[in-house]
Amino acid sequence: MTIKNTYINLSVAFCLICLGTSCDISENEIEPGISFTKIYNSSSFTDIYDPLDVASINDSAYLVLSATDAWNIHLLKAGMDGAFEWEMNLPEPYVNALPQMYRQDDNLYLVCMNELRLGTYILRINPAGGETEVVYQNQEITYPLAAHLSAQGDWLIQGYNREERKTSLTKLSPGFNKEWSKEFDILEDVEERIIKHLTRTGTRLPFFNGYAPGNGNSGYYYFNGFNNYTMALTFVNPSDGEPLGVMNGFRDLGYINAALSLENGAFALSKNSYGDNYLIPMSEVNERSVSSSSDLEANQFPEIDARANVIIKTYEIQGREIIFYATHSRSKRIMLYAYDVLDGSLLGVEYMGQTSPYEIGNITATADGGLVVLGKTYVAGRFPRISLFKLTENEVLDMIN
Amino acid sequence: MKHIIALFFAGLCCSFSTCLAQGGRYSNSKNLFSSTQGFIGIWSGVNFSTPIISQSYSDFALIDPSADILSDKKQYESATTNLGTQMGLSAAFSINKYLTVVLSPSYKTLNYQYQSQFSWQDEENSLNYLEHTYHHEKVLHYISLPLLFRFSPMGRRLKPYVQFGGYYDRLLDAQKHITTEGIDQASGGQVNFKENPQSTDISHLFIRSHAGLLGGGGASYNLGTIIFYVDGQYRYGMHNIVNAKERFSGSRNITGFGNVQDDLSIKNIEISLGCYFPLKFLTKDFKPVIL
Repeated sequence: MTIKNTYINLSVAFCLICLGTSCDISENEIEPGISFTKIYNSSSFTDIYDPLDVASINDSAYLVLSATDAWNIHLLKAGMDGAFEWEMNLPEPYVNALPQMYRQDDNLYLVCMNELRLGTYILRINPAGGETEVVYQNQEITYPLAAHLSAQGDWLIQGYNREERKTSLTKLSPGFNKEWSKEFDILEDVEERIIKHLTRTGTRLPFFNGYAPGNGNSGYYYFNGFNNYTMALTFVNPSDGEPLGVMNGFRDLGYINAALSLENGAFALSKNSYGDNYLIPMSEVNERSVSSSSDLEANQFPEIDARANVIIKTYEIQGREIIFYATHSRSKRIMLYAYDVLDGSLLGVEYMGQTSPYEIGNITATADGGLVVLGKTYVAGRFPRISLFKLTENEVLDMIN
Repeated sequence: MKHIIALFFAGLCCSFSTCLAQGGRYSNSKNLFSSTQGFIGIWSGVNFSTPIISQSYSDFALIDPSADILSDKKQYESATTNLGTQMGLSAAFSINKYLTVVLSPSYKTLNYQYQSQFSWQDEENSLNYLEHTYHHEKVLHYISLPLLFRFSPMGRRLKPYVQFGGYYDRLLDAQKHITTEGIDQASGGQVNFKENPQSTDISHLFIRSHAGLLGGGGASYNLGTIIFYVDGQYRYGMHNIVNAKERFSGSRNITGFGNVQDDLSIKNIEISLGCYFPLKFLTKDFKPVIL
């Protein structure tokens, strides 16, 4: 073979190699909004944001609910690529938004408190401009702590009666008419702890309400709140609020800090005991018995921050039902744990946030199969700001496969 | 982009074939052995990169855009700051006296740097002030495969030349070094701080391929059994080298502010020194073929 022929062969091989390995050039594109990270920063020292929930608006924007300056209510709208559109603070007397936005058909609601009278409002939010409309108010339901909106449109609102030292539970019809109200003795004064919870000057406590379809029995409501000296998960009859059973905690030092009823009648739970966190992706719960959360067998997750919020949600990812636990670590990184809804086995873990400390706000699924993770970050290690992570469907699949 | 590159290399092949054909005709009229020459050599040098930004991104959104104090625009350094190096082998084939085809595989580092600044101010006391400056340095390691056509219109011992061609680089890995410094005037006095650099692997934030066109010139000096040359190339990257699919993953998991990379291509000036050794010798007196 001559030198000339060698060169011809080398050059042809060179060209073929280049063409064969350069596919990543033509495929190096991604649609806007599929993936992004955004930190909504301001130049002010004194701005403090505590993000609570994020909602996807018509698959083209995101609405973020936050608390600012302790318990004032802040709304922020971002485009589908996370670009900032507008922000606003709700005027007085609305304070203490519960850490969730509630969706019914095309309407979006939030539940909040009257700053002076401590009563309860349900506000309908116009996601286009952030205008709010009072659709329900009841100044007798004081210190609203948690709410649940059922698929049928019924509301279940948990409050605290400071004069009677009782937890109140009120069910409203879809037309906002009171169907029943029930109170549960706490037997001690917990107002100071509740005020610290609301004003974020003390431990944030995991108040929540929910509905469980039951397993062969009729469904029932549950609420996590003060009952009989403890933070307890109490199960009640949906027709009159009469208690069915309870899973007691230990005062406000040991408690269930998140629960989600699964379709098979089991619960996905998280419990906290003196700052130690346990995730229980599948647990049989007898709603008609008296039990204790300390008796739940579970693995301890020492990486989870002692007082971290824990979010449990289920989403269908490519036809597969997945339980997602979202929380943050002691090193202030957001963590997503994915479990199989069929057997509670762990599928994967995703860690987010290295640049700055991050704390979990909430998560929501998007129409493109991805996930939006709302968090609080401390930019420059000191200024609390809202952050959004948008994970693509492929990134979610990578986590669970 | 893939079609453009395919056309480019197809064109290279056509012109290469044409040159070979012309070389063949030339050889037929002369002595076939002494009408061509092959060379093998080694070379190394430095390069200076300039990123060309096609689309800018940030993981920060200002919710008070009227506040002029805060900025997240990346300020890219000039090419003279972005120093890289390269070294490699070179195989050249002189088809005739004027035209040489060169394949010079090399190991190459590209470097580009930028900084971004942030500041915060106490609204109630403007003397309380915090400023952070993040200096980012990206170092990309490539195996580079340039294919060059070199024209030497004049000279015998000292031969200036011009050249053009294309290149295909394959990313080996990429590193990021970030240094944070700033002014903290919010803790009772002014403190200037500078933290130790942090480094991390960011290979997944770039695509593997990097292709483009190149042109340049140089001169060679023939000492008989060894030829020294100095070479200059201007390399024009033809596409975005940042991995769009991983654009935001860096800001989730890699230390440092402003990790969302802009879409960019690279312009690069490369200066090298090298030497060639001729491969064909006239056996009678062991003198190399000189065209």
